[in-house]
Amino acid sequence: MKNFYSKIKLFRVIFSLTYFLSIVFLFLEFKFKLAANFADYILFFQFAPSLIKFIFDASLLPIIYVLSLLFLTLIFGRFYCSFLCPLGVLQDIFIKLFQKLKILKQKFQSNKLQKLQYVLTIIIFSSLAFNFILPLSLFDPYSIAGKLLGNFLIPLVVYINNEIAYFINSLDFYFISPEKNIHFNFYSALFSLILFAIVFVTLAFYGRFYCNSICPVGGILSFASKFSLFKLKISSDQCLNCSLCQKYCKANCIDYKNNTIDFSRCVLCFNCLIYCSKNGIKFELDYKRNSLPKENGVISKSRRNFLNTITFSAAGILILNDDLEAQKRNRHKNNNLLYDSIELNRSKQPIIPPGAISLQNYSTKCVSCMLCVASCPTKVIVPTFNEFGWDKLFIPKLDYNYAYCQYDCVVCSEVCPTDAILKITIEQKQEIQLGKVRFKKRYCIVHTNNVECGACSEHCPTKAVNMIPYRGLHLPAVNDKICVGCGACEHVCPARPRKAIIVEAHSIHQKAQKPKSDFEERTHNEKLFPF
Amino acid sequence: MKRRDFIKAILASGSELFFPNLILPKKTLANNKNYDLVAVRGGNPDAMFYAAIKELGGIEKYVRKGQTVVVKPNIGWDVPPERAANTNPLLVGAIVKVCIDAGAKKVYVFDNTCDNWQRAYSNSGIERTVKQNGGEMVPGNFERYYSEVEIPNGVKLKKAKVHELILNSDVFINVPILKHHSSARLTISMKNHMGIVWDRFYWHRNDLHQCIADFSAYRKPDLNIIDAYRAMHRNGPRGVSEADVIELKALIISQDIVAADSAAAKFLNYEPQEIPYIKIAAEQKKLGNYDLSKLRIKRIVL
Repeated sequence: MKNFYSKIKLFRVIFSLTYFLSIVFLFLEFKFKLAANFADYILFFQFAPSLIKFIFDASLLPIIYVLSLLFLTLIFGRFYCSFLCPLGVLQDIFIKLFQKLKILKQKFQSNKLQKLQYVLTIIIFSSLAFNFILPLSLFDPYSIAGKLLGNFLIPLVVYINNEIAYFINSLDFYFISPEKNIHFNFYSALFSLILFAIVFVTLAFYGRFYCNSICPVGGILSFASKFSLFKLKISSDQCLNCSLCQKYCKANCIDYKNNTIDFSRCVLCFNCLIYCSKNGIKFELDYKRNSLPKENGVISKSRRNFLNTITFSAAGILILNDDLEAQKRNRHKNNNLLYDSIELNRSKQPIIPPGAISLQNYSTKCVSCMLCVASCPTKVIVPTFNEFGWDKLFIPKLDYNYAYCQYDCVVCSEVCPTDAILKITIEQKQEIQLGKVRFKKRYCIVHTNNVECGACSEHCPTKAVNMIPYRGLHLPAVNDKICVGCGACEHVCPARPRKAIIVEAHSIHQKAQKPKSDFEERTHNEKLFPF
Repeated sequence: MKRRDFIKAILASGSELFFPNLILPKKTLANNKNYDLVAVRGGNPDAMFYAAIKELGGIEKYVRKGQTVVVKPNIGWDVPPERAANTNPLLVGAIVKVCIDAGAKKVYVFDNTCDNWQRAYSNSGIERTVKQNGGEMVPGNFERYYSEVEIPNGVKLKKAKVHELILNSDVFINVPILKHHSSARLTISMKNHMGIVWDRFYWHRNDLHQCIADFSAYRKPDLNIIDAYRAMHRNGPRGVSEADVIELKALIISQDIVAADSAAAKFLNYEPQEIPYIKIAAEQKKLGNYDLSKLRIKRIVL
């Protein structure tokens, strides 16, 4: 039997590492741009993104996946947390590391915060019903893992890659080339760092503390695993009270003294099964669920807990709802304010990626996992802090100071796991207007310095910015009907300190007309050699 | 083109090609190899180049064994070759090939692109042809590759950060494509230099035309090979659609950057004097000759 268990464990380790590394690969895949081809298949198995597609788009496959995941959890328990959750696997890696460093304190912890976790979980998921995704995006383990990869691993790896590339290039080899690094956002990184600290400091003392006290996905699966068919059991006749199982339990959910296992916290790492000195722990059908007299008390207790949980979370939702209403009112007020100083503030409204369709769609589905930030070839997509407002923290925007959006590229729409950026074709993208170009003659170099420039028109993919004669020179003239809002003009405008041409964001993307071709014709010379 | 013009032109240019031995003594035949400018029409980009370089006396005249060569095409944009926003990949491949065959130690190709460099390198088709022919694609979009140099007699442009390959390579071959340009009127050889400097927006801020002419005095290319197989006659330099492109099937080679640009400009009905940077380069900086009637020009029709 033990042999069988160690095979299962081996399978878990190999499977989870492979899957985890494939997610890391998605984020780090800046060389061959393959992320777009694989993202869908790999991230489909993430709970929160599939749930979002399930709730907001009612897509068939995510529905089947989420339901079958819950179903499997009802049979086997929280295998998701050890097999598929990137943050979980990352913690497992750190547990291994901590064990080597002997700083891990693994002992049974009573389950004090589980109620809090359930309340949080209910609040987080019911806030989705109010189109409010921020709580989920802050605490969803996939999104946290993405932020960790995006804010720390990518900048570090790109930096190292670049140093190596420059060195190798200096030796006259060019098989490694430097890469543009992602735009670092201090607050986004700080938030990830704090969460990282919470997760990994508590990890040393309480094992998978985050998974069993805060994580919303863990909350759902933990609740489901309470009723699972199979459970881990300590058989008291075999147990030697050697405490090895408890020592190696990642979730600190084994109480060897009382021979009990809190299965709702178990992440199915199978360690206890292997490290048990006898065959004292078994993974078996929980058929004796109601037969023991002891358990009656447990059930009534858990029923009270359940009621408590419901009450607390209902209160939470009400408070949240009030909060949302207040925010809506405030936003309205702010809007009125905005109209008074439209010139200044309009340009501050961030631009959202093509395929996001509207701020409404984008901000209700984005869990800010930063995959689009990582895979954007020009790195024009950057993480934000509160630029979209305090209820839309961390969702990425397009920053035209840093780069511009390529006319023939739809990578962000291909990688987005939640369809916050919907799948679009290149043809569709070229008809989407992210914002409208605005030309301010008073800052333009042609006007102020009396020299030719035309950088904006040069870079415009649709010639929405065209040069017209002006004082013997050429001045930009904009046709915002065919502008796609890619930001090339804004990015390259050399006027300082204020750019003379900017893109003003649309909250709802508009349709850009197809570029016209009625410019002044200047045909070629018919002679074979005109000289 | 009318058929009569075509035949006339063929006769005019072909007579030299077909009957040199009859008309000219052997001694002047050798001198024939000293053309200031060779123009070819009517073939594929690579075939036109082979014909032209043969007339100039072969690539061996410019590239010696063991030398390093940097080829600077225009790879500014993330568009396919049919859009004619980037130099024709076949031409770039052919240039790399003849350099390697002539014994060049290494042939580097790079551009400080406008669009994303990896996408531009690969979608222009240039990366593929260069690698096939044994050349090396080098990134140009990172400041580390650039070092600051002084520009001799620069009026507006006194310093510029230049790509190390331009500074270190023995031979510099400039391979622009002939295109309309919204502010510089046309972009050909001299304007192609904007892809070997780091801060080209300094040029935009400080009189584009003067800066282009100023920089041309810094390092004159050993050869300017202008790709006009497809030329963009409007909406340049990026172009909006294939409607902006005319198939000229032409190629110009010259060491004289001003002459090369002037000749190419005429294909698109521009007079050289109309284009300020050509005028400045010729008149103020004396970098070359825009009066094409004073040049020894070889005209070839394939």
